Amino acid sequence: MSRALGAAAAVAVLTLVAAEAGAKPAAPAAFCGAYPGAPACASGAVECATCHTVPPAFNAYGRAVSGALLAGEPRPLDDARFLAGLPAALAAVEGLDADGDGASNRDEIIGGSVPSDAASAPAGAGCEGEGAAAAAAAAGYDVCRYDARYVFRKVSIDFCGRTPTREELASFDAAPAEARASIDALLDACLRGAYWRGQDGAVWNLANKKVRPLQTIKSGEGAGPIPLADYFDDYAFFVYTQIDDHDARDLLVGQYFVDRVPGDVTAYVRRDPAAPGGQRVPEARRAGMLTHRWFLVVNTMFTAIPRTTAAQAYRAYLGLDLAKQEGLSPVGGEPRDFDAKGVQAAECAACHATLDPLSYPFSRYEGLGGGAFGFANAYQPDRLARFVETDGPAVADTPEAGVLFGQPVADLLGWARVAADSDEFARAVVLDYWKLLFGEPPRPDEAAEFAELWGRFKTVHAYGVDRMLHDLVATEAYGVP
Amino acid sequence: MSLERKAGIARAAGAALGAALALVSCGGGGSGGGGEGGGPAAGEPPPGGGPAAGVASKKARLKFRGGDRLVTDLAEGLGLPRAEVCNELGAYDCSVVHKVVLGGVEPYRSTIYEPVPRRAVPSALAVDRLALAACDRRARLDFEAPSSALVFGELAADPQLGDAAVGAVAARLYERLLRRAPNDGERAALAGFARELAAELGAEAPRRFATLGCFAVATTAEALFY
Repeated sequence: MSRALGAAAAVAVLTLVAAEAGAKPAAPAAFCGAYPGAPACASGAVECATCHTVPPAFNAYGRAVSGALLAGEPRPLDDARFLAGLPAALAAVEGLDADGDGASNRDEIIGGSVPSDAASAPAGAGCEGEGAAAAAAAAGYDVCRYDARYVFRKVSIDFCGRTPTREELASFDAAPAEARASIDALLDACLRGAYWRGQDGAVWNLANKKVRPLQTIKSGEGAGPIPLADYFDDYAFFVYTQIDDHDARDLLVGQYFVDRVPGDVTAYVRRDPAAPGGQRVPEARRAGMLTHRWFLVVNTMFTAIPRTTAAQAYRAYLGLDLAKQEGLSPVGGEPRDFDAKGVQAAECAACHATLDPLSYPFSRYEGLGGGAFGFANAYQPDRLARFVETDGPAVADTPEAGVLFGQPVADLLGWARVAADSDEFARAVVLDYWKLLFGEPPRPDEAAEFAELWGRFKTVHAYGVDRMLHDLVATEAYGVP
Repeated sequence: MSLERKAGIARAAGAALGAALALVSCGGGGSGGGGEGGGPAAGEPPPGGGPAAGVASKKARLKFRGGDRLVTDLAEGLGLPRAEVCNELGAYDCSVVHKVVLGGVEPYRSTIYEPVPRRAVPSALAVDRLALAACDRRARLDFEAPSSALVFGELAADPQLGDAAVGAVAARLYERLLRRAPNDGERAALAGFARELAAELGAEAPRRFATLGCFAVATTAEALFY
């Protein structure tokens, strides 16, 4: 079974299960319709994890809501019935305590804690009043406010990979009026260091899930036994877009390549356009990481309509995992099933109405294909004609144009532009760093601060990650112990 | 003395210290002479070790420091080249051998793209291994050349394991490993541990205290989480 078929089958199974169990893409926004002031609703929709473990499976709170939702009506509920019944179901379980932590579901939602997690409860009293705040500060860590000394220490550990010496801390303590400047200076120094930007450093490792390397098929330095492509090109390009306030959108729209220069601190420089190395896509057809040889080789491989490639791009760069029913945005008339994979079956179409039009713009880029023609990684406008024998005659009619977030795009360059300018991209970039620095996604009571941060990433920070990080370490979420 | 016995003693001491540190790190109050001059520096955990008198953190968010940063801090704190902190079979960097259980990744061959979300039993064993190896290395160097000792000079010069020597080394361990001065409870815990060792081991006690006292401080919650 091809990878695309495998992915299609997996999505189909999930869709079938979802229909039985009740994961609803419309639910996160509807939830916030009922609780518009909840901290978790700062961006207008809650996370799927509010009700699910891994959709469509429910967590404790989701099970309670599901049980109260139009009880007695046959399942599955269609979207209209689901949305009509949801407010009453939410209200019915408000007074319950799904996770047994002593706080009602309503108190948890309004208070910004997680109603399905017994370890998460609404913040209790403690910081009210000047006396309490002063006591907290005197206790060593100012748990009631932004604690600059705590931040200074944490910035050193998070970004430089080392605890500051006592002398460095004493120097910081000696100039309280300069605390903000000292933190910024330390952060700037760390952002230039090997721990942060070096090979296998913090930023480099953020690319792991996007690149998904496999040494066995690596080419170039440290090549494996079956050298197909060099993922170091992808890592170098990724890091370059994330440092020195380069425009992070180049991840998806950059039309250059980057070389890694080993040293005490690895450097990253733009590759001479006249020497693209193993990369074959012509400059005018390049779309950042999406057209790197490695990305196309491991995701598209031999498939005509590269659904796996599109799904990985959607997941890796926009934070939307279709296998978890995230980012469903069905397109009318889709899927058209140009390659005769049976995706028009109802249990498949629910996801493929989004996935297939996402995939068409990738269909002109060779993965491993090309056979005797040797077109691997090349852009071939008539590529699909070669698949008629295996995928049926209609495959040659597959358009290069597609749809992303409801917007028609003419080709992959258009796809990449819409993606790079989207809220989803900005949110996904900032979320990567948030998870790196906090060890977890934003908690419900941090959702508003997180939403403001990725909003500023698009505007104030002009997509510069370094600027965003200076802002991040100034947040209450980062700075209150 | 077997490694298991040493580790057991150190864990016992570490547990006591860890409990005290957990309290003070979370805002415990109390009185006593922490800091170089008897009081804590600004922002440092306060002296004492009694029950928390301040306000508890609403976030309660602690992150494991991870193998790479642990090795860096141990190397800097104990004045060791990074390559000498810990080597399995004398040849393989412990932080590489135990990389994944210490919170690292191995994307190229094992497709471990992100740190595993929770630490497991081998994580604690690997941390112990790192800390014990680093402390023992520093102790060996200092006892072999007391005149140029970096951390344990007073112990090498005092076979009786006297209070002054223990106090000086305790202060230095906190200074170098936790970047702060010990509080009264912490000093007392290390002093008590030293007396136990002296009673049990006699002349061997200073050398053992050097390794195990260091190990106890290096494996406190405060040293491993932030």
